[in-house]
Amino acid sequence: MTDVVELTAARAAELVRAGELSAEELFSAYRERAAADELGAFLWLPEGSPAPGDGDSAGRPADAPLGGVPLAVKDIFCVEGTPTTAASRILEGYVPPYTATAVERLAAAGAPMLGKTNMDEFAMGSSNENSAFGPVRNPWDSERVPGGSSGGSAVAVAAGLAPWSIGTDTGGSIRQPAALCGLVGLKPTYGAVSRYGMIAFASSFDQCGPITRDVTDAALLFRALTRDGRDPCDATSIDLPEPVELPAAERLDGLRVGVVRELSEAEAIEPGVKDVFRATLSRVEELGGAVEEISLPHSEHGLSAYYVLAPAEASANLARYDGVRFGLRAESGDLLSLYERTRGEGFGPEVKRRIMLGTYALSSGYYEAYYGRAQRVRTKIAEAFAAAFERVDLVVTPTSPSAAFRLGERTDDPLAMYMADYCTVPTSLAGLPAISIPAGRSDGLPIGFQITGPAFSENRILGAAHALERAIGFDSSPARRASEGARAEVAAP
Amino acid sequence: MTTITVAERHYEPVIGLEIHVQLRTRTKMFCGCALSFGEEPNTRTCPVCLGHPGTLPAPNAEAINFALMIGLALECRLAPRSIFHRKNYFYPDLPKGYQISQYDIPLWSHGWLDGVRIHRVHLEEDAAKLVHAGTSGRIHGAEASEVDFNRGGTPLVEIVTEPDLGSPEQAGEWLRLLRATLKRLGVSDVNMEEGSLRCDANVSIRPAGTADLGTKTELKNMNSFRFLERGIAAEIQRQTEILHHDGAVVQETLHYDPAIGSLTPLRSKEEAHDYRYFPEPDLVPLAPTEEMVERARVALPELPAARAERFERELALAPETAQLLAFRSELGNYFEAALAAGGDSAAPSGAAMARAPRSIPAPSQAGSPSSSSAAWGKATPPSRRSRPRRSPSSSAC
Amino acid sequence: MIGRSQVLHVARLARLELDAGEVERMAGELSGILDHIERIAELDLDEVEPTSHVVTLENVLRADEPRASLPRERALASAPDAGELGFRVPSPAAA
Repeated sequence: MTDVVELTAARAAELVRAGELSAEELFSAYRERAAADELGAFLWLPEGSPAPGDGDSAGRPADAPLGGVPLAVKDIFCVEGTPTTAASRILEGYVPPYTATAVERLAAAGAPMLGKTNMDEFAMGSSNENSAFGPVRNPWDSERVPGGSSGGSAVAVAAGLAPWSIGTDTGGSIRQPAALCGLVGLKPTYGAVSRYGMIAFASSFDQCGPITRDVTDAALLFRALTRDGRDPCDATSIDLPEPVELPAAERLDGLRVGVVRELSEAEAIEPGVKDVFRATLSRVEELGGAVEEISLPHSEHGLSAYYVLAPAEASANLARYDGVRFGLRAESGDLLSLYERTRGEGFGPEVKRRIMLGTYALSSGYYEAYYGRAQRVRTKIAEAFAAAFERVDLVVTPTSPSAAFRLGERTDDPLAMYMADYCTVPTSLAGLPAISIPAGRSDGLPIGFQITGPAFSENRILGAAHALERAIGFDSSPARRASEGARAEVAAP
Repeated sequence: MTTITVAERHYEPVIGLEIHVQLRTRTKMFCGCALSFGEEPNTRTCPVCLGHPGTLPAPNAEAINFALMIGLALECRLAPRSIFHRKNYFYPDLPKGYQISQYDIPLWSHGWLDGVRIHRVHLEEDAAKLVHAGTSGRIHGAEASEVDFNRGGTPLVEIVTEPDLGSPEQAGEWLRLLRATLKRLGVSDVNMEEGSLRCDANVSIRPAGTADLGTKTELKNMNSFRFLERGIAAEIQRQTEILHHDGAVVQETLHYDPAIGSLTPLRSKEEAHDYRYFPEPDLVPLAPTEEMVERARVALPELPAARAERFERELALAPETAQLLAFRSELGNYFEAALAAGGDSAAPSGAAMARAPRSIPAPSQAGSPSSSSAAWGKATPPSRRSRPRRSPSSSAC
Repeated sequence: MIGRSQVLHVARLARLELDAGEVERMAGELSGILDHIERIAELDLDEVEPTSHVVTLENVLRADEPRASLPRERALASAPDAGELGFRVPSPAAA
């Protein structure tokens, strides 16, 4: 059924609505492929076809906006009756009694859940090597990482195991794996999508978003996620000021695009990445956009601020994993050892590291020096973006300083691993929307281009991304073919 | 003000109270579970108040309304913008591993009630209930407890006073007034035995007539007015004896056992708590609008202090009588009912007085001005009636 | 810059049991990360307000309307050890 797999989700939905393709066939085709997954992308697949209530309960899939096109869901989203682990031992066997709003809305719009995808444990990681249930491999080169923490969601789509997926982004966890896997990844404005039912890592950063083959698919999912307005179950969720439009732009005339000096010229950015980035800037200009270099002061300190604030919030968010009400409970005698052993056994090394870091940053005597200062850096970065958007309409950077690196290459060096978030973290600190689109290849590996806009400028971002995507013409099919046993083409573009 | 004399040295007690009030809303503070009144364990819970992964708090509008009413009744200053904080610690009755509370910017501050300054009034959620379950072979023969989450998440208002109280009796009487006030507001059942009114006391003593505060201890587990007064009295005695023998009072938390009158240091829960407070990222700030405050103000009934003034003014009752009748709402209600049935004020008030308990302490007097906390910008010490009604900070509303 | 005893203290606050090897590794790793983070100590941030909330909403409140609670069995369904009355744990007093 290769034909089906070559369809974008939007195209597949059109065919279902036109009666040329049945939603059941589509689901089965992908179910079969997902079951044959050898890249570690999936943690859980349902038995058989969608359970009752998984599709559009109001009618036929053909009538639903998303056409019954099945969706891979990062295992960070609680789904009632479905094992949900956040890729952690501490939640092994946990079955939530409720479903995340984002998943409910997408199912109601006609995107039934295909299965749960692998991820870095509790969304902490940039390579999907921190899963308690095995790493995920990049279909472009199976010795390399797909990026993280939404590695499973990205690989499911890149390898043609799912038509589209949702992941979460805290410091880059949608955008960076999308970039490393040659896909589109959108992190919405903070608050645009409900976090209810999303297992929390860092509450003031976490956002749900699509990882898809192209910009139109991303727009479709984003629209379905937001069309019902804010979620009363999430006090930090907001109504979008305008409805999501399906992008149609083919040119960028009149668009002022700012290149962030601190992030795009940094030494940490690999030469191959810089080459693709510069080539993409040329395309922007060819399409009529005006490119200028801008400064985003303090953005070079984004990582430092992020690695105080996110772990601090995480240290509190993960305190509930204590062996009392759900999840793992270790053998223990007294209450203290119940807590300590459950958490000692249940959490992986990266999670422990971040809990320790966060606890330390909040602890008595250190709050002002770390947490307090990091919150101020956060303000400065938000102000820097606001100032930038007085001059330009969009801000661009490479998505990731490097292409996909090898499995095991950075696992002994946390700081090197954290560097993967260098370009994505400032946007997260400011709560702004950003998209990564595949812009080219370096040594055969995909390179992403990140576009950031002001709060709630998703339509502008999607429009620009759509135009650029057309001009770039990135071919993502090698990764899909690779998963069928053929070797991925690694010839230079 | 009481002075204790031991071997010619005079000490005065300094008492502050920390009160938790369960609100009579229909649902919990952060989720839609109905409040529980003796239901079967764990039948009033949901993923949110059980602290399941991925859940988020949704603040109860009525709880905020009640908290606004309380602050108005206690003549507090409104924070134009207050936020919630996470108070982090591990305990089985705390499902998230943190309590959502308020820390450095509480909803209300700088209040006053009958000579006692209110330091702060804020909102938070109640913990669950730990029930001792006897030994369990499953936990290697250790003692087991079971947790009932019905209560967990109930809205609480915490009221903290300045150390303006000078005796156990005064503390008891003032707490009765607070209770009457809150009952009149209709915001809580304020029943100490049932746990909808809980009171801890901070107690210290100092040489009489001095201004510096001594080391204070915190007393817990006094679930009736009588036990509160007894516990405070016992602690004052304990501290007096320490000072008398030239010892030093250690700052600690003590558990009062009314059955044997003992004060035991609470196992310090491993270490002095480092609560690692930080702003709650799952909630947005509270900036009460004019409408919200006005709605709360309009809902205020005639409060005991105003009622006492009215009794004095309209019925020419003596201040002591007026206060007694107003501050003990059952007496006041009896009195007004009798009045309505006919007759002048003398007989009903006499009858009401006859129903009053025998040992009524002297009416609340102004607490000794504390030098450690600035008075609320007033030159004279707080006194019962002279304080004018003050509207909350108007700049933000 | 973060020594063994501090690691143990923080681990206790976080209720994490670390073996001897983990404690040592953690001290090294955290020190390295903190060194990097230390850079923000050099910035001049005195006049800057901390960001405690990213969204600019205020007063997001829920109507005081009861919603169905979970039936008892479902509430206890995930419990590692469910007793007659509820979630069983070793008594804190026994710790």
